[in-house]
Amino acid sequence: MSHHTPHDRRVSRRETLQLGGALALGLTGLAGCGGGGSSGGGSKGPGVVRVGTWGGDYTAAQRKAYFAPFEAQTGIKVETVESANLNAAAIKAFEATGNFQWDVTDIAAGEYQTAVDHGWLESIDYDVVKAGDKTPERQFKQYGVCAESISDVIVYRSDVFRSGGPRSWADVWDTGAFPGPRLLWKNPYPALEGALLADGVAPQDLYPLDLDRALKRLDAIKDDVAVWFESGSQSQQVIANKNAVLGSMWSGRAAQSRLVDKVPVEISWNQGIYTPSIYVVPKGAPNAVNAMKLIDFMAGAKPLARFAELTFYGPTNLKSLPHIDPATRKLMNTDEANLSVQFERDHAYWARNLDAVTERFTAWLTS
Amino acid sequence: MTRGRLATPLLVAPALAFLAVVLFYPLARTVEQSFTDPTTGLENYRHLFASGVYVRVLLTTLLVSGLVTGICLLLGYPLAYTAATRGGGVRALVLAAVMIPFWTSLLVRTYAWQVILGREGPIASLLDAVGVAAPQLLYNRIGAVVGMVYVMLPFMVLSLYAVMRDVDPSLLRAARSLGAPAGRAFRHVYLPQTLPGVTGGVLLVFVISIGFYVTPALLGGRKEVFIAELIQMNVTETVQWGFASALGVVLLLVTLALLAAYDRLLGAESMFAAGRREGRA
Amino acid sequence: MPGRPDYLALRELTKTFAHRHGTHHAVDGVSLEVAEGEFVSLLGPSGSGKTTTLMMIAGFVAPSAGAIVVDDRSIADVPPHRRNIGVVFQSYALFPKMTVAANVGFPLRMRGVSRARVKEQVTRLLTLVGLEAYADRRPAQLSGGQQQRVALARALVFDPGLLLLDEPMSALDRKLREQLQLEVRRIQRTLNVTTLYVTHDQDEAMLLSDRVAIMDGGRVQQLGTPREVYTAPANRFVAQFLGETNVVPATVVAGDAGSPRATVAGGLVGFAARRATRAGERVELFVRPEQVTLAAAGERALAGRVAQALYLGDTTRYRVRLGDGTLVTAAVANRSDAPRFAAEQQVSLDWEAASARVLD
Repeated sequence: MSHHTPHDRRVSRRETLQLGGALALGLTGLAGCGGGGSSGGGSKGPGVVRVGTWGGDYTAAQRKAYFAPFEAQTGIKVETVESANLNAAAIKAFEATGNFQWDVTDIAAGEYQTAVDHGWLESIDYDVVKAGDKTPERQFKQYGVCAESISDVIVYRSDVFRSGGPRSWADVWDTGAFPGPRLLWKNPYPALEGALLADGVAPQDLYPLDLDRALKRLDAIKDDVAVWFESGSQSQQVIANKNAVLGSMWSGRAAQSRLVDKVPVEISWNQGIYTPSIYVVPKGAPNAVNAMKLIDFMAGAKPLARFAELTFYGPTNLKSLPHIDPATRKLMNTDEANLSVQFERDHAYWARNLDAVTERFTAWLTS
Repeated sequence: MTRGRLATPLLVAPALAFLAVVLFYPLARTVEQSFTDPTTGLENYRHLFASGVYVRVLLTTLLVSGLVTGICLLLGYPLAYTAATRGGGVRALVLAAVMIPFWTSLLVRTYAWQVILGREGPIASLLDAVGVAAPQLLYNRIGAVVGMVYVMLPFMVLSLYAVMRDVDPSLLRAARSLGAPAGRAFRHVYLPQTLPGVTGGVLLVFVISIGFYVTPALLGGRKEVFIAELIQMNVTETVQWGFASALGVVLLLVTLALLAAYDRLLGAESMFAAGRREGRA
Repeated sequence: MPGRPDYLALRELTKTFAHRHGTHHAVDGVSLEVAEGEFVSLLGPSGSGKTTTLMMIAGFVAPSAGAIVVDDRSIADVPPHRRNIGVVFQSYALFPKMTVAANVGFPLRMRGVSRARVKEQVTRLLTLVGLEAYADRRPAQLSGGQQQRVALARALVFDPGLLLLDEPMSALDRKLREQLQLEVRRIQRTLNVTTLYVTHDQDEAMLLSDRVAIMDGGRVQQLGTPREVYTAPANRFVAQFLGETNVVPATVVAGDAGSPRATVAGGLVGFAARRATRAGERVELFVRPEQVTLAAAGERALAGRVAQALYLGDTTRYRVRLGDGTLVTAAVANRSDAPRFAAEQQVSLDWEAASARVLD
């Protein structure tokens, strides 16, 4: 599986110096040079755990659903560290410098794959993370635990398409039957996958992606995509302002548009592309033990349900679903009815090919 | 060695040391990394020039930055002139109009433009009301340029204002009394005096613009991908630091080349102000 | 020498500024005529309106009322760049990025004069002001006096009908000023250009001008030759502004209109008046210190005691207290045969009737 580039071998002394120089300015904490082993607990009481988080509403939801009750229950202090880089690259930096900005965070499945390939993650301690209130077959991985998930789904405004909107990616490509400006994520994943699906490729035959075919298909709607959105909130704004009236959004954001912004957005779950988000602990994180305890809490049925209600990201823990109110549950991407018509993205493929594919996609996009 | 001779290097030394640590060393390391990561050699550069996207994006970056700089100059010059030559209320108003956005968060301003330029925004509504078909102003080059000009304008205005303030107002009067109508007086006398401010503003705006990508990404269309965005992607998402370094190095070299060309065109004189009032020996 | 007497005519020229506390008349109905080739100074304290008047003639300030006529043509509607008037500003306003030659040539280039002719004229003017060797220097490389001469050359190179100078010497030291004053006058006479010169320095105005216009409060208080304004001031302001003057309270004694007399602290003195005076009227006599004759006690009409004797090299100024407490200053040239008085010494003094004036 991992015939990856020997990135990890390149972590030399000089690179350490360089990274250290670049990162040292502004990083707090002289916590352990090359600290191995966990120091959760110890002589200072229950201790602390530092969580990497995206900021804004996301962090507020985490605080409410996870951190506050966890602190109350265990006495372990949860410190949030906001960052826009919760990915393999950040973990790489930690491993190289020995300076861990956070002990645990949730990263995208593709990033997980990359981190695993390089051996940058702690194995999950399944004595601490208990199976009782969880759905192990969906959530448990060797180096991470799934919590929430997100899907790239087809959306449209029901007030524009009164007699029904697009039900498949082919429909999204059909500018005759479904005219209007489209929105797509400015990212190779759903654009290329959607293009191939629109061209008639079945989900099980999707990977490895036939890039030429996908880009050719994308040419067909190139000028009909009014917005290639960069952020979730941008996509919500765009669909609300009618700068686009159909296309693809992240499922959580689409649900939010509908339930919170009160925009008449309909989600077509058919051919939705599912990606779980995975909590991981960087190898050698100082508070690894506390991190495991936090993961155990967060992936549990009730806290995850609470989080799902706040953020509209579907829980990977099926035991959470009954705890979510019906109206919201219908718009969860992991609700049985919805999930059954979706398929999961091939994370290993993306982990290996992201660079090259991104480059080709960018080349196509800007031409 | 007299004391004066010795003092200057000593005074400059701390600043140089600071720059050495914060600028020169990381820069040197970045350049080195572009040649050594992931393999030693020119692979990064070969790849950069072989796949057309990077050169194309670089050209787009330079082009749009140049456009933004030009527009900022055209808009900023009269604004700065007004602030510099009028007193009291008018000056305060102009400076406030320029500075207050400057102190507002960048993202807030960018999102504000999304509302204003959007399909259902005030401009489109106004044009609809008059019966004119509203062109698309958002998620294309127009949106990106508008957003960037709005962000960069204060830099240009302040740079110009600082120099204009020191221009002797009697110079223009003298020119007119000597037979120059307003236009020629401006061209022959005032403009040359403000050239250092123009240079400062142009350099500042251009250099910041080419390193910019958030605003054009949020307000522009698919073609408004700037080189900085690709560098960022290579650093944080695809984890190819060597390649990102190579992109950075190319950007730096191109910028230096442009600055050299500018200098050749306008001469070193344009860089430095000719001194405030005439010296009275 | 002077040609037509009203080459430049200002008629009731007025400039008012309105602001919160009312209107301010910066220039209030100024009328005067300058002959062709004449050198007239506008002399007055700050705020007297002299610079504003100049600026209106140059065209930078629009008059609120009145007319400006040059060579029989009203120039009120002519924009500054077409008035053909040379202006030397207080700050010289030399173009810093141009050489001296380029500066001086500027007005000719603006008029579309050929390159060869520009060079010729520039050389001519630079030679006139003695700076032909500095043609390729920048203004910043010149001294203050040299810059001023360049400004002058630049203002004259296009043969303007009128030359205006706005306190051009104010930034220079005394020695330099004296030198340049004579230069300016020499050049002006050589070119015979009608000149209006604004200054607050009396000596300068007296030295340079054919005539002086004393200004105060936006009005011309008196216009006349230096001798006229000095010896026969038209009013109290002029008398006290120019040089020093004694103000002596006196009571008129009945005397024939040809030679009126008054008593001052008990003594009888003569005076000159432009209007009739009544016996018993209280007046003030204005007498210049150099007109006061100081002598030993008893020799002259008024008795007094020396309060202070100031030796100034060429003159000695005595402050003498009269019987009624009035202080009179007498300026006595320090000729070797002049009498000398000491402080506290009893003395006597008087003056020629024609030198003492009654002013209102």
